[in-house]
Amino acid sequence: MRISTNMIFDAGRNAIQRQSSEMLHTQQQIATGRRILTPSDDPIAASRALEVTQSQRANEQFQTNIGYAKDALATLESDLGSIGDILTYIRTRAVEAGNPTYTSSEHQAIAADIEAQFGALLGIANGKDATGEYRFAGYRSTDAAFSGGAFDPAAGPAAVAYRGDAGARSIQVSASRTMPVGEPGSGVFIVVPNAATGEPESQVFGWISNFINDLRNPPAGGLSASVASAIGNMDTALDKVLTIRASVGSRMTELDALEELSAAHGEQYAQTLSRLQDVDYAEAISRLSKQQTILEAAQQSYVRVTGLSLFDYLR
Amino acid sequence: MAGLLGIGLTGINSAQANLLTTSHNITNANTPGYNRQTTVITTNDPLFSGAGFFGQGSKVDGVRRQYDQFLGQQVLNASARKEEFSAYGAQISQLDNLLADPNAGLSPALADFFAGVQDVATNPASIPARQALISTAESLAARFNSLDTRLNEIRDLNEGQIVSTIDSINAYARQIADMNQRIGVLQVGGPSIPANDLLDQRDNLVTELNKLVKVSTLTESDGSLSVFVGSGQSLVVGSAVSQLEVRRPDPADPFRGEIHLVAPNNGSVSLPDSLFSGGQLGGLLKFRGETLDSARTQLGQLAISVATEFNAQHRAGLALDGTTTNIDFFADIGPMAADPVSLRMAAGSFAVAISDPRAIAASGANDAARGVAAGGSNNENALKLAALQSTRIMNGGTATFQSSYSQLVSFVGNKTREVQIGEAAQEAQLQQATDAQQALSGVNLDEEAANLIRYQQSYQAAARVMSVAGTLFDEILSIAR
Repeated sequence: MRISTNMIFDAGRNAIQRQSSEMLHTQQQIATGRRILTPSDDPIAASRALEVTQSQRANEQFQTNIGYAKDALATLESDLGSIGDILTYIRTRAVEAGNPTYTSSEHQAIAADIEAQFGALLGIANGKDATGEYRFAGYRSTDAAFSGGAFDPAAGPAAVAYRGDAGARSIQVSASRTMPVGEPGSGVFIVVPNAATGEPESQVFGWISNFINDLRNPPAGGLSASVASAIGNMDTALDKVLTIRASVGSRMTELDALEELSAAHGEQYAQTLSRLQDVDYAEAISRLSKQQTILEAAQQSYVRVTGLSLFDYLR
Repeated sequence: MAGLLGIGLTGINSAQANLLTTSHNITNANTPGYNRQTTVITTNDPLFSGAGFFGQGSKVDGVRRQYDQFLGQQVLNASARKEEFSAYGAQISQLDNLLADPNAGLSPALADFFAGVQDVATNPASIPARQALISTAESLAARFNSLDTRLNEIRDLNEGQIVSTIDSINAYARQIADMNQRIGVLQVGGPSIPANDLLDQRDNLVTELNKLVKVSTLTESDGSLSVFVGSGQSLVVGSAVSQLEVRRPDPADPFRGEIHLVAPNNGSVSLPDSLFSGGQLGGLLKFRGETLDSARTQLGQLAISVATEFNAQHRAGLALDGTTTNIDFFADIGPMAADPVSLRMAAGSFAVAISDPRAIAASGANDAARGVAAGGSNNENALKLAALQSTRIMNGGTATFQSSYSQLVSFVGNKTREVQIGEAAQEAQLQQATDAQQALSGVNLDEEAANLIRYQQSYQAAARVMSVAGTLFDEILSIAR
């Protein structure tokens, strides 16, 4: 084939340009640590990386949410423990009050003791969380959960009305699990509508108040019926608290498992992302030195070939 | 002896003509579009004598350029396709680069926004969490808007290049018509005695024009060249030129240019984009029609879906006060989906509608049956809003917001790759066609150097013939002395 001088120059120049551009690409990959510099380098991996990043971000959010949920459930669990302790204590005092040798003054002392426990229980029921929201008010967390319960030295404390609702706030803790992390006071303190007014009232507080009243103003037939009923009522209240506490405990166990799973997922996402978009340095550097060799060969052969001219021999 | 002197002279003339052509070749070795020339030398008519025919030396018959119409056409075809891919590639790589950085695209803003929704779901009564959600929503809007702005810039650049390409096409068309006229004037002997260098220049103009838009040509019997674009619309006939013109007929889309052909008699006809398949103009139009419009539409659809779907769920919920409802979170851009032009612009109108953090409808409705109240730390609607992130809403229920954006990225990435591969393939084809054409028509300086020696020697040899003739004449004269 006949060769024109331009062909020699163009072919050499094109080869050098091609090698330079390939080498620049490799250099950029090495400098950025990214295998995919633009989506066109690997369109499928590029869009896949975006989706994996999204899953990774969601997974991180779930980990944060799990943290929130564990905090909330731990507080709830300790509240329920204290409530259970108080109810057990009142039940013990009720058993004591049933002792037929106890005198009226001893009954008065027990009444005062139980009244103090009543106050403590109401304190827990109206507890606030770290952000100032009432823990047992359901969704109406901006106002105190319970109202009333004023002490009366001659009788039991006033009725305790429930101001909250039955809402239990849930948090999304995994892609497919939304977990309730609160308990409304209506469940824990057995709220039912008042027979006369229809207003929601706590039975637990009512039962305690009735017992205090009976201790202070013993009924005609003696205290034994009141004591029996108080013990029964405390058992009912304790049952309720223990059931809820068991459910909270199992939710905390579930959260521990989810946390581990989520960490494992995070690891996998990071590995997938790295595989999709990170450069393999060993491969890239050996590719760079190969390209450098080829480029140098192209440059040297260009100088050699274009240096040949018959005109050099015309003197 | 007179014959000997005459023959020597014809040899000198021939060698001189050859040397002229050789030096012309040498000096034009780098002239674009130059085809090497050769001098055609033939023998003079012989002189008859009783003993037979005696040769009378050589004569210069003409100067011919080494040109092959078929090879030239192959270069034109390959170059039109290559230029189309190059122009397309230059445009689409801007999109490719725009979507290249995973931290600058829409993805992180979308993820941040939904993380904000999750935070409100976790802390529904917290004003700071609600305020943070509005902030992340505003960054999402800013990201949509800046992507739209960037796409608009790419569109403006594209439209601007279409206009300037058309201007260049018109200029080349006028020059070719000019050249037709000059060649007609110069080739007084008719097309059979070609004005080689002017033909080269005209062919070179066609080559340059053909890089801008694929043309077909036809050499007329008078030696003029007719040039056609599209499906045979005449751009140049003899010295008459039609002009391409960009008009913007759609008031709803004032940036979009359409191409018209205005004939010398001022009659105009609209040429659809699909007619221009080849050359830079073809690439620019293809990028606009295939990729840019599509990318803007996909982004617009995503913006509309995010705003509409989020609003629909948000309107179902209640604000922190537990009573206010039917609140739009984002500006309602749903109606922009009705028309393809406004759909392409929708991402630019994506905006946050609420400013009061209390207005975020995290709460579900009052539900007497379950004994729950609206407002406060009721987060039932916030959980549903958060769930939109992983719901397959887009593309007929097959894609989440995120995967729809990923599809846009993979669409642009794939298209860019396709164009890059096409460009490389066409470059190789053009290289082959150019090599074949250059093998015939290109100047090889070594060859010309060899010719220089050769024709110098024939010049010397012819001069020697004349000197022999002179010596012989001297011999005769010396007899008479």
